[in-house]
Amino acid sequence: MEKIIEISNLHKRFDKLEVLKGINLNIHKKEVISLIGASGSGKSTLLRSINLLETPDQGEILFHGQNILNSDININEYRSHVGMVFQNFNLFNNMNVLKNCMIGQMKVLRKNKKEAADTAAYYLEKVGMKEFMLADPQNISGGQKQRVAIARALCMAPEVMLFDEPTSALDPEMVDEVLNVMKDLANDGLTMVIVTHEMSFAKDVSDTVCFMSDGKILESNNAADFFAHPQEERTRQFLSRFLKV
Amino acid sequence: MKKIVVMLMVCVFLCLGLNVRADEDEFVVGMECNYAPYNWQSNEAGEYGVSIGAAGYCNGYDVRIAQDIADALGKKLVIKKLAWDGLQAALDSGEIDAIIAGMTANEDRENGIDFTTPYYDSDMVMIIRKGDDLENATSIQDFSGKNVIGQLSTNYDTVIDQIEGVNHLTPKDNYPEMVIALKSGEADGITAEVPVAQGITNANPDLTYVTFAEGQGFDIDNSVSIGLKEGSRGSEEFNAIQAALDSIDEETRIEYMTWASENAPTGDDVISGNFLEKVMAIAGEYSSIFLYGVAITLVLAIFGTLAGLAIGLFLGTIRALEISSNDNPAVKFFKKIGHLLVAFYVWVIRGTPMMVQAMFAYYGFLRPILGWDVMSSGLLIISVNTGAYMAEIVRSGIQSIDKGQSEAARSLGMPYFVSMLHVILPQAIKNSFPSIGNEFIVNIKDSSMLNVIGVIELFFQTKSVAGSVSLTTETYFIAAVIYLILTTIATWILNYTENRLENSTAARKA
Repeated sequence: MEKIIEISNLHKRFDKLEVLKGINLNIHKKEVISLIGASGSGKSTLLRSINLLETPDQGEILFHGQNILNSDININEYRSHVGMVFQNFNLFNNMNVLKNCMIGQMKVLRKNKKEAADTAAYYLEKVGMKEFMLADPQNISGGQKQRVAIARALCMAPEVMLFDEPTSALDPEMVDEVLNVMKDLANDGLTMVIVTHEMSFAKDVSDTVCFMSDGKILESNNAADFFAHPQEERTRQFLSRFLKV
Repeated sequence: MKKIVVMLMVCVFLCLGLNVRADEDEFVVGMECNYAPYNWQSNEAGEYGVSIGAAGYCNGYDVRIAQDIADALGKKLVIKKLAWDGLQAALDSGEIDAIIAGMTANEDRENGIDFTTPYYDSDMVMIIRKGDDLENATSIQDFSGKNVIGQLSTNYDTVIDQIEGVNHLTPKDNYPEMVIALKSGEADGITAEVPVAQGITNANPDLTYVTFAEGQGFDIDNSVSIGLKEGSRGSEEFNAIQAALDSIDEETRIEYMTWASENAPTGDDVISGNFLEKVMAIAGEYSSIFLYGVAITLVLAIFGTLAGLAIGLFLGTIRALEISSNDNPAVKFFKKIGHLLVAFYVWVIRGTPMMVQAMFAYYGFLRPILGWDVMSSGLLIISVNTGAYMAEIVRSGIQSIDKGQSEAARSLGMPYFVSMLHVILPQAIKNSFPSIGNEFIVNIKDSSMLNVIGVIELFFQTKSVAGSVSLTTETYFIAAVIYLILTTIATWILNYTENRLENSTAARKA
C-alpha cells in the first residue's frame, strides 16, 4: 500500500519536558489509525506535529517522500492537503456554517464562489448539516458544530484527515452522531488518524491501533489483535481501566 | 473593511495635496482676530470686515491698515486667522505675506522677522477697578505691593517687574480672563496699551484705567509694526509695503484707532440681562461661529477615529505577531524590530499630551519643512495620536480571540495575513467595539487641544467669541453644552450600533 506520510524518529520538547521521544509511524493510503493512551502521553502533540501546528525539534516527516520539515517547503500548501478536526471545533465565529466551509476553498484553493458553495453544500449534506447552512456557529449544538468542522476540512479535499479527540468536548448524547459520520468516512476509504478515548469505536473503525505512553508508541497492531492480545503490560493496564467502566 | 481603509488613505493624501498657496494677486495677512481693538472676529461683515471663510469676519485697526496697504499694492486683501504663536511660522513658510497683528518689534522677534516702521504707537497704562484708591496713581511705583497681572508671552507681562515690590501674578492667556481676575479682586491692575484699555473699559463700565506721568511710566516700546519675512528688508516687496504704510498719515491712523476702539465688540453692547439671557444672546449672535467650530470638531473626531483605527489595525497586528521558536532568524529579527517600533510609538504617543505633540509636530516640521497647513496637520496629529491607543485596543482584541481560531485557519492552509484579515481581525474589532467607540467620544473632546496650533475647532471658536464679548463664563458654558450634546448623541449612536451587533447574533440564535 502506498505510504502518504512517513514519520521517523520524531522528537518534540516543551522547555524541559520531552513530549515526543522518537516516534516512528507510517500512514498508508486509506488506512485508519487510532492513537490511544493516557492524557499526557503525547498523542495530541504527535497529531499536531503532523500538520505542523507544533514544530518538531528533530526527526523527519515525509509527505509523498518529501520532508516537510525542510525550510523550503510551503507549509500552507502542505496543510491544505492535511485536514484537521479539533476537540473544540474551532469554527470561525464570524461566519455562518456555509462560509466556514467556503473560506478555505476560496482563499487557499482559489476556487470561485459558486464552486466553493457547491462543494460546501455537498459535504454539509454528507454530514447531515445542509439545512443549517445559514446558521451561525453560536446557535448550533456541539455535535452539529463538530460535523460542520468535519465538512469544513473535507471541503479542502485532503489526502489525510487528523482528528484530535473529536468527541471529548461533547455531551454524551451527541457523541454518536459524530462517530457515525466518521465511520462513513472510513468506509468511503478516507485516510484518517484519530486521537480518541472511544475504545469500541477505535476497535470497529481502525485498521491500526497505536498505544502511546510517555512520548513513545509502545505498541502498534491491527485493531482486532491489539484489543484481543495486547502485548505490553502497560497496554493491558490501560485497556483494563476502560473495560471496567 | 478594505474599501474603507483605501478611501481613508485617499482622503489623507487629498487633504495633504490641497495645501495650495494663495496666488500673486493677493496680499495675505496673518492675525489672531482676537485682540481688540487691533483685530477681532465677528459674524457680521460691517463696513470694513474681511471674510475669514465660514468662521466669520475679521475686523479692527489692523484690518483697516492692511486694507489700505493692499489697495496701495493693487492686491486683494486676504486675512488668515492664526494662533499668536503660529504667526512667525506662517510667515516663514510663505503661507502669509505679512503679520499685521498688533505686534511690537523687539530684539527677539527681529531675529526671525523684518519689521517695518511702527504703524501705531501708544502708551502703556494700567486697567483698574473704578473707585479704587489706585485711580490717583501717577507712577507705576504706586502699584508697589499690589497684585498686577499681564498677558502671557508678551512684554505686558515682563514689564510688571519694573514695579518695585510688586506682587507679579501668574500671567493669563487673554484679556477676558484677566478682566475676571481684576473684577474678583484677585488682581489690582492689568497692564495694557491705551487702545486695549479703552476697549475693555468701554465694555466694562465698572473698570477704568490710569495713565502715568512722563518718566513715571513703564520703560517699554509699545509701538506696533508690520512683520515681513526675514531677509526681505530692502527688497521690492518690503519697500512697497513700507511706502504704502508711509502714505497713511497720522490723522488717518488716529481716526482708524478711534473707530476701532468704538466699534470693537463689547459684551454689554448687545448682551445684558441675567446669566441665561446672556448665554442665549451669545448663542444666537454667534451661532454661525459655534456651528463652524462644531463642524471642524466633528471632522477631526470622525477622521481621527477612522484613520486612527486603520493605523491601530496595522500596528496592533504587528504587535500581536507571535515570535515562535521555529521562525528562521531573519523573520525573528524583523518581528522583534516590528514589536520594538510599535512599542516605541505607543510609548511616546501615550506618554505625552496631544497638545505637546501638536506644538512639536506642527512647529517642528509639519509647518516649516513640509509646509502643511493647520487643518492637515491637525488631522494627522489626531490620527497618529488615536492610532497609538487603537494599536493597544486592537492588540488586546486580537489576543482575546481564542487560539483555536487561528489554529483552525492555519490548518486549512491560510497564510498568516489571510487568517488575520478574514478570521481574527473581524472578531477582534467586534469584541473591541466599545473601546473603539470610546475613542471617538474622547476625540470629540480632545480635538479641542488642537486649538494650540490654531485649528479652528469648537474650543478655538469659543475662545474667539469669549474674547469678542468679554464674557468668559457665559461663552464657555455654551461650549460645555455643545460638547455634552455631541458626546451624548455619539454615545447613543454607538450604543445603538453595539446593540445591533449583539442582536444580529442573538436573533439568529433564537
